[in-house]
Amino acid sequence: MVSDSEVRTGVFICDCGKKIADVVDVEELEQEAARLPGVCVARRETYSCSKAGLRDIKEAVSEHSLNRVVVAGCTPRTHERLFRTALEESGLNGSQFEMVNVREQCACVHVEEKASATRKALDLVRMGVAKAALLQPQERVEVEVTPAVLVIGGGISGLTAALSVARGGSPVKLVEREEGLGGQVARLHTLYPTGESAKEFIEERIRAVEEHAGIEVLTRAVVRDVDGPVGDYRVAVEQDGRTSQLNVGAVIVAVGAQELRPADTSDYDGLRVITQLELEQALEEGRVQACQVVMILDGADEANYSPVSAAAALKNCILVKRANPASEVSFCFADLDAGLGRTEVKEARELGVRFVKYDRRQPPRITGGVVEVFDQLQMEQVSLPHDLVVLALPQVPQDDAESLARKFRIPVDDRGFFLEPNTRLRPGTYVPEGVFVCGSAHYPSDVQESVFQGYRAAARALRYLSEGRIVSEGPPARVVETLCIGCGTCVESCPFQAISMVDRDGALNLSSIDESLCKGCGNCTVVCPAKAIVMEPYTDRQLIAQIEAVLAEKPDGELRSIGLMCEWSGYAAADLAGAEGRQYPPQMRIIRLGCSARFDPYLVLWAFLRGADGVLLGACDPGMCHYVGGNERAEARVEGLRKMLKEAGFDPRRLHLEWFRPDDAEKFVEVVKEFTDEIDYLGSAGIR
Amino acid sequence: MSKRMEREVWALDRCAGCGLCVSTCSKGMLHWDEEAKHPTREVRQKRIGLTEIPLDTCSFCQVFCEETCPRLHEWEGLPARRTVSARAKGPVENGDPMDVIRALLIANLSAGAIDGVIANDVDDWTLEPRARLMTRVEELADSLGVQGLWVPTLDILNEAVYVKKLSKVAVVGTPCVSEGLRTLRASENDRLNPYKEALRLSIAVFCTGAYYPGEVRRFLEEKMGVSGREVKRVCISPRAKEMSVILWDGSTKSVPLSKIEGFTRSGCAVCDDYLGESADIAVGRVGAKDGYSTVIARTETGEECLRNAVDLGLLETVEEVDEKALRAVKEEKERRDRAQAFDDLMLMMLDALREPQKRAEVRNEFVRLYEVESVAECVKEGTSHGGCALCSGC
Repeated sequence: MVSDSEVRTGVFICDCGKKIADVVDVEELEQEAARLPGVCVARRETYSCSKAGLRDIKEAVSEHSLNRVVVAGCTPRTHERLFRTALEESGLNGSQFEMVNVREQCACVHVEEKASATRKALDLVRMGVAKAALLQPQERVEVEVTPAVLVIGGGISGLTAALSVARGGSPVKLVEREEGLGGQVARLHTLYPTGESAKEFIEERIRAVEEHAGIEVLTRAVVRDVDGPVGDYRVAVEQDGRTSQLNVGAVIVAVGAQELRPADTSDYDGLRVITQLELEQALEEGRVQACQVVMILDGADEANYSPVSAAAALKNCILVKRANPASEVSFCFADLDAGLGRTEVKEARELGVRFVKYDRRQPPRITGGVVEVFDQLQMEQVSLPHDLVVLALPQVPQDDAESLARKFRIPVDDRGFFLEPNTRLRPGTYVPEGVFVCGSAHYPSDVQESVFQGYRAAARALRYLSEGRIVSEGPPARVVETLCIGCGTCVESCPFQAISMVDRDGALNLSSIDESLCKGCGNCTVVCPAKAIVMEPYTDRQLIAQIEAVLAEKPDGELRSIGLMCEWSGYAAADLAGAEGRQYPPQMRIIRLGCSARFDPYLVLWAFLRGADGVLLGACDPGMCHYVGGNERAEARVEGLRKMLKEAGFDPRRLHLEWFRPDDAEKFVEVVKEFTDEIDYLGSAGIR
Repeated sequence: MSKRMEREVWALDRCAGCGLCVSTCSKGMLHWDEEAKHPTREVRQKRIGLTEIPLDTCSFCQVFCEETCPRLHEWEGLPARRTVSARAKGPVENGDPMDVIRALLIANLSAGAIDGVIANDVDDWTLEPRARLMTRVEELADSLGVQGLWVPTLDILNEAVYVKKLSKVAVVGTPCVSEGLRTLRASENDRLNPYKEALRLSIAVFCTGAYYPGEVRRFLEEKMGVSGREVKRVCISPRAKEMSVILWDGSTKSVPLSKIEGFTRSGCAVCDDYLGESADIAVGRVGAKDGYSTVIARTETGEECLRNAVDLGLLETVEEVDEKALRAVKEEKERRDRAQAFDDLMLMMLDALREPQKRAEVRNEFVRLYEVESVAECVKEGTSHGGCALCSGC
């Protein structure tokens, strides 16, 4: 019998045809690997990922009773899943598998330096074996997804999403706060830029939604509470004083935005000075008879500029002017964005709308009969007589957006709109699983945009439901109860609000991580003052083992730096550099991290004390983190540590943070070259 | 120079906030800054000709701050000499820790064992918690006592020792205050003798962390709609895991501690003393019989004071105490110690970068804390199995 605690590792070295074998001395790799602690068998394969290769690995697992497998070949980013699945078929826990990236990190990038490439490959194998020994089997958790969707908000994007989901075959509950459906569009006169009637447009959609058997519409209803695990949200909805519970698998948030209410200091009176929405209504009812109209596009706050308001303002200027060509229409603005339809601006000019640009520090003043404003286009003070002033105010988040965001744990941006954490890499994906946002709840959107987003959210939600079950590989981060001191630091720092304090006997509380909410960025493992949180497969001990493996065999006189690479940026960029065959110096050993938030000053100091000459951290571009600002946390940590290193008389240039995008192969190579040069220039850190 | 204070206490958010350094500073250079996370050193400017240069007032001083700071000294807990459950008797019959302490103080003040008390109270006007010096029984009877909110209790030490020239002062405070007093007493600097001679008795209240009063008050006002004027007392009950707010109209409102966890003084995170292990007497709820408080006398002085109160009929004691509960709390100390060790490790590692002779020690500490030696062993163990001959005999 083989006990669980005993480490039995099998190392499989892939020739990758000749790709790896041409550069790296695979025979030496095989011999050295066999001598590593815990390794029972080391073997070469021509193509590990081929059917024959996988069969060989599976056979070796049963023959040698292996409980850890290390494959030295290509990047885990493409092949990890393949091997894991194969190992699981042979009865091994998939999480006890480690890939050593000798192709992208050695063979492809150090073609001319075969000896160095082999040495580096050896180090990487050593690191992989050391880490594999510490990998713990992870349990898999499966959750069934409830096949129903909740759409919050009956505006245009909510209606579109609801209809699209229902037509896709899933039951939909549509919750609307107001009396009737339609949202802001129902209050509009015409749509920009097509000019079609808003009423007809929206009524057609409302009818379709109401007639669809798969959609249950709840009006005058508000979401009170959200509970339940991912995939089976239990949402308490209050309607007419009664609270009912809806069980849904996915939620589409389409609460839209609202027009900013005029400030008390403005001259808004609802009669002669009105808002844009009121103008739309007046236009719809045909009660606009004003002859001197001044449209003021609010520009008080640059950050609040919404192109949608600007477009609507322009559209309405044209409508008013067209309806009554004899009227005088002025359009005051502080900013107009370039995206605004050229043809509309041209048409407005031809119709005779007067454009007045004002300085945002000197907004127009509305006095009894005239609007006083300094026209920057004419460079003169003008007085615009008016019988109607329209304030085109920006769109801002709904009043209850914040509380909704808290209930669903969706991050919001600095203006209060729901945040899509990664527009570029994973558009339409949000932090909580199974929750999607569309329409103006994101940012002020016009009807076209809202409809498009409605379709997109529906498609995402349908795909999510169609999977039927969610398989998660156990809780990524775990609190060691016997070590937790209940300080609550992790609770504050978790970007996903997945950690809470629970009571336990004695004076100290205990923190507890909600496994369905944890995304595994590893931030808590770093901030925990008692180091009581472990996160597979990037535990402290695993990372220390990797660092040790690099530095234990560091030859005298050679320089060694460690590259801590976030797998979404630096690691991916390194892979691409490998695939493109870009060459760079072989001094650095890369350690893969799930997110740069896992950057732990303790481990970096340890690396320096063990003889590392430099540490390079690769993080995602600011604003691009997969884990909501993990890179910014890393930056703060690097800055703090550099300061401390400087105070301790250690050259802070040896620690460097660089931003990468996953496709920054060229930059990666440049950065590694520069960093290596820097370390060469600084020489050995002289510790050991 | 307060270099050590700055580097090892304030910069690491370890300040206990006891106020001892502010009181004892030989040059009066320390004061509480606005947010009062820790004392700050005043920088005075000196004008020479047309230039102003900062005056390095902190040189050539007696370093009383370092001498007395409880966070710079490690103390083994004093063993309990006597542990009882007690409740106040006489005019006030109550088992609340505050009333038990009051009974202890009144008894000893009347008996002449002490001539003054420094304790926490609330300023009648601003309603800010603050330290108060009391020399008469009426004042004691009238004071509200510790509120679980942070107060730099020892701020007014000079008033007691130098202004009122008291010679037998008792101090009631959090365990860190007692620790500070213990550090002060242990100091060998003769110039601290006036303090050492005047401070006779330290009483600690069991504590799980002090909260910033301003933030708690804001929380009460904004989230619970209770204005500062309505509040009589604030009690922190770690057992019930809640903070109860006793209002002047007699009603009580409570908040789970988890809601106000964030307002804890940051320096409390490194504290590992809940049971007032450096105090002459420690008083608190944990382990006591229902309706009583636990009183632990740790020194001879403490025992005597306890006896005085019982003899005068102000305190009723029973021997029934739940030792297990007290032990459970003590065990938590180990966990906190470990966290503290990590904090120290960071400093040690930084020092070791510069000083080669420290590296071996740091390595051992790192290996101990991260338990990585066992990793090596586990791998080594693997090696022996690696030599398996595959005889299938197993």
